[in-house]
Amino acid sequence: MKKKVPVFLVLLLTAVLILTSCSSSTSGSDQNQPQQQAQQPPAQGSGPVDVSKSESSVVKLIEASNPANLPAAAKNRPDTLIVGTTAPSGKFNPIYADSVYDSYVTELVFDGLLMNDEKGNPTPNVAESWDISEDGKTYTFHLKKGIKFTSGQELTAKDVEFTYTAIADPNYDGPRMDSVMDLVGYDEYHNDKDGKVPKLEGIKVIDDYTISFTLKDVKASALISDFGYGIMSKDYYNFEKGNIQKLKDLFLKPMGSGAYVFKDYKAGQEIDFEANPNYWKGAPKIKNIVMKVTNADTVIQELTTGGVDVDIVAARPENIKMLQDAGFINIIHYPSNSYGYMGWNMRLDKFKDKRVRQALMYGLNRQGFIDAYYKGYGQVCNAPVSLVSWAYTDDINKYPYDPDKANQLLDEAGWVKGSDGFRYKDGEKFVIHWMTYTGSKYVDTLIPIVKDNWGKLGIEVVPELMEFSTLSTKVYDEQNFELYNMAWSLSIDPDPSGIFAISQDVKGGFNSVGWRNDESEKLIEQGLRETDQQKRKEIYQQWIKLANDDLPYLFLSYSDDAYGISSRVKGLKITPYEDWTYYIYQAELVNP
Amino acid sequence: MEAKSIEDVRELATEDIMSPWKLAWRRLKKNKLAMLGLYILAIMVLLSVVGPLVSPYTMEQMDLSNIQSPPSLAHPMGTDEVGRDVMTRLFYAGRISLSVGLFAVVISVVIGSVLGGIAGYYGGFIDSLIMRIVDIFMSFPFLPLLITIAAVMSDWKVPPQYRMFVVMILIGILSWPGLARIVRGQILSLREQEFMQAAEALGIRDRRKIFRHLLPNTYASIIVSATLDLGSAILTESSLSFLGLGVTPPTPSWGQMVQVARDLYTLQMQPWLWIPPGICIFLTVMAINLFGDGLRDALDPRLKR
Amino acid sequence: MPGTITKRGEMMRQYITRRLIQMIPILIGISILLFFILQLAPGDIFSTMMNPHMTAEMKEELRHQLHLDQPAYIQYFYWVQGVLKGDFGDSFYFKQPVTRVINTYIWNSFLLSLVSFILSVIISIPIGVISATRQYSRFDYFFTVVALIGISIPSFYFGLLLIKWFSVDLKLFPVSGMMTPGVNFVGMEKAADILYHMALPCIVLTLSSVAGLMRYTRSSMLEVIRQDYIKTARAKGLRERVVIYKHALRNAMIPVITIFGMWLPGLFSGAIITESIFNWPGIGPIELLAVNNRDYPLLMGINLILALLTLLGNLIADITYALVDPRIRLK
Repeated sequence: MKKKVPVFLVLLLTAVLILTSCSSSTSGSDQNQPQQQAQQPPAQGSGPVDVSKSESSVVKLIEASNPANLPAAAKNRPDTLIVGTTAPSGKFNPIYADSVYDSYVTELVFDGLLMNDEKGNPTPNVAESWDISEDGKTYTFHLKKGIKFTSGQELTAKDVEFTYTAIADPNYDGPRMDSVMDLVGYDEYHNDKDGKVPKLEGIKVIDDYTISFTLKDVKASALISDFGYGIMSKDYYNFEKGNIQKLKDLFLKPMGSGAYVFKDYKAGQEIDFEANPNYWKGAPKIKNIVMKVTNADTVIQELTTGGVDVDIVAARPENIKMLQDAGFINIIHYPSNSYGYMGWNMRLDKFKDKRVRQALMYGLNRQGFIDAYYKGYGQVCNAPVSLVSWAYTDDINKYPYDPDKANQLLDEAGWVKGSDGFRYKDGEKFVIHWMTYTGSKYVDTLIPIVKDNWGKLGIEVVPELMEFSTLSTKVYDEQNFELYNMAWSLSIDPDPSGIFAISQDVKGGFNSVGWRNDESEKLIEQGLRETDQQKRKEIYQQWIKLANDDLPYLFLSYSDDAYGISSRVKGLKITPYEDWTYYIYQAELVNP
Repeated sequence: MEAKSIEDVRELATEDIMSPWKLAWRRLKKNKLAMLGLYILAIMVLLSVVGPLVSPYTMEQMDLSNIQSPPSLAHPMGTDEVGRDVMTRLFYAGRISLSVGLFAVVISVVIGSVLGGIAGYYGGFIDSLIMRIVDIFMSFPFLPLLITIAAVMSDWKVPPQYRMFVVMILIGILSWPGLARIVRGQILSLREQEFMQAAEALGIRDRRKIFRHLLPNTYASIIVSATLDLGSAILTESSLSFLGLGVTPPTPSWGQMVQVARDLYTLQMQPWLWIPPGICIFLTVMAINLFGDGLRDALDPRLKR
Repeated sequence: MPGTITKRGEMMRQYITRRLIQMIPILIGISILLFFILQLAPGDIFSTMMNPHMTAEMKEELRHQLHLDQPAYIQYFYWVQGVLKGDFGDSFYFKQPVTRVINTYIWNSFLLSLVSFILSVIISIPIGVISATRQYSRFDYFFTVVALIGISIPSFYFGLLLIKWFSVDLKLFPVSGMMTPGVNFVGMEKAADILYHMALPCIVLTLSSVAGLMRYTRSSMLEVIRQDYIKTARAKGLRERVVIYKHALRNAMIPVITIFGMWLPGLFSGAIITESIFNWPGIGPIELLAVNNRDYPLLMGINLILALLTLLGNLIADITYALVDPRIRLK
């Protein structure tokens, strides 16, 4: 299941950016080539490309024009697939992996109880089926029989129990706590440092193939959010309560029931895998997988020289063009499950007024920014929901660029233009100190546009760049800011409580903007307790409309994710909710 | 023949009554390469001061309908990612980069050579003390400190335009210890030479010995160090901006403008974005180097042309 | 006179011992200063952990586990306690012992830096000397311009150009990495594979250091050649080669030795930009990662090693001065 990776888009961006300064390319030779995908006709005799077979409505394919152009480097490794990855950190454990890169490793090596389909619905995996009790609090999973760890032992309910109990361990210091903390008996087990409470009450092994989890309260997002983590073998990983160090000692020797067996990790270079011939879904067709470390500066060159077969690239026309020119690379791109925004501190008087917030939204040429920066591979965002979410709705105010309307709203709000061209209210000049992060082309493009657009409204914008950790400390830990910008990479479930609940409006919480809207709070709570997806959808769409009107954020942008995939790789399925690891066991390597 | 020897005699005569600085200046003026360096530098300064004033565009004026366009008549160096005129920004950037580079180098050269000279000449406890300070400076990781300084400046709401001065001083302070060690190392050797024994015998004051007799013999290294520092200061300014310390966009600097060549597409397809600032940095570094070499020759009493 | 030599040796030994002893308080001082400055930088490892499923209380609990909720001096005390037992703590980010993390990456950096260091010495010193002896010749002009270009070009830019020319167009060298992925060579084959991958980053590093070293050698040589004793040596009828390489070069080496001393920590510190561009698994990007994540134990570990190397490098340079120029007395 697509994990809730706490590495968020911005972080990912800055991590790469700070390492290599500015990674994602800004440029484009001529801007008369937006949306050039699909213009390229498929080459004659190139055979069916399986990437397209699984194409969902949102995934777009640009087919390779000349698959035969495959470089010798790639031809020379008929049994080995090389996938580029950015920064694995060596925490190869399903309950410790805290970046997408480490998660790819655990997804190859481990299987979770459930998976998800491309719409984001939970689907069976190790658990063949599941029941939910009348009160909606108890989940009972029926495991498939005969699944074996690569050690030869069978995966049973006690392994599931072990995995989830490990997360509740008093000394657990990984990022998955939230998936067990709502279980009955969590606090008793977690807070007991002396080993007096041997078991977590909420987890019950019924027989070898049946296990149940009992929550303290209904949690509508539980299935999709909490039951996807890889199951660890109790025999292999077992440790005494409190001695979780054992798991860390085994970071570099992960062992699970997954499609691939972990062979070797060369820190900062590569991770090697070998097919698990006894994989319960069928032996993988590709014998070896290597995850090779690449970076955004040179990923295009790695792909075009055949150094890697599959890698994620920044979805920009320049990159796509360079990949197309190579001839043998299929390109897919789709809207990512994320959005970019600017957060304003609503504790400040100037941002308390909804009219001011709306004026700033109308008064910013967001389409112009997106056209300049993404050149066709991004869209304007108007609400705190991603384009691919099942809760998404288009029926909201689009806030088109309209300086006149913005001026009018500002006038109404009492900010009047002075003789110097700036707006004043009660003698206070309208100045916005905008804190943002360094080393990002996104920000470098945004700054002049914001300064110019809002300057024309009579607002002085003072941008201030800082290193990302400093920025997030000021925004979240200290709440000491006027305006900032970041992006959220979202989990599958649309529940926004982690970001917008009033309980998150504390120092260190994520409601950094201080949005305290009772209506919103009510809807969020309803959404979390409603298990019928259709009804939930209605609740969330109502909430989206509310957020779109009340504007806790200035919503900015949706961007695309793009993958370059060598034409020697067939049958690889990647969608916004499904990583390349999900169906890798079905993919194969051919000589085009 | 006759005339020339008279000329020579006259020159000798005037040299005798000229002050050493005047003499150096006269020698310098004869050195074509040094003057070329000086002219290049003067032109760079002139362009960055006057350029923005005569340009039809302003530094921030953007045009989203005309982004990343190649050089044309309207934009002799093309436009950037939001359609701003690259040439105008290049001139503005010169103000920042030249002043950051030159001031940082002056700071580093003054501190480095004075402390290095004192340490090398006196030796013993003073040398130990200064060199241990150098050790601490050199082994101290400045990355976290710079982040802290950046955060403090933002807490105090230091206006972005003033942060440039902090950057100059910081770069200067960061780069003096290397020079101090180089100067001191040379002076350790120089002070044992015969001419210093002569100076000793003549009873010349310490200050005079250090600044008149010892330091001039290290000018060569100081000039090389200044040339290297100038190049790196201009580039370091842009790295500091990654820590939130540099000049804040949209104000440009050459270092930041060169950074757009971070991806191969720009590198290959949009050379107008990075070649001009690159050439400006190169010319500045070269000008300082040529001028510095000439200055050294001019100040060297052994070289009489 | 054997007597003076022994006396000199004795003085030298005393000097070295004293300097080594002085290092201890300096290192302790640096560790204290460093620890507190690290704490001053805003945020900690959890500041960038932007996981909406991680509530403020959960973060507090994790902070407590790492003693991050304690004042800095208490945290320092915990750290020192570990160090005295030889335990530098676990990296916050990697959740592995600091020594293991450093050991994994630092030798890769050392390998790359050492090779490029040797190359740049081999290249730059002869060129510097020839440039000086033939001042204002075409040779001199050519390398002056080359050096100045080297100074003004950022290394990322040069690295990308090399990748474009040698990897993409000519397909001579791999784009990045340190070994061919998925293949486990051993012995000579492994060495050859690493050299093959090292070529491009090595050129970048070498060229950036050649420029400076060449200029220092040249200028210092020029200075020496003008000295009276060189004129005397020439006047005595010594061969030019002997004059230059035996008498002049030796004396011209003092600034160059200083630079060498300063390179010792550089051999281990890794080159952040070059290593990132070529995905060389060195310590440079790891330190940056540690800074960005406020990984105090890892930063303390890396920086104390580098501080120690800096002190040693400067000491070695000071000793070498005395060896090169016997008139220098170490006190």
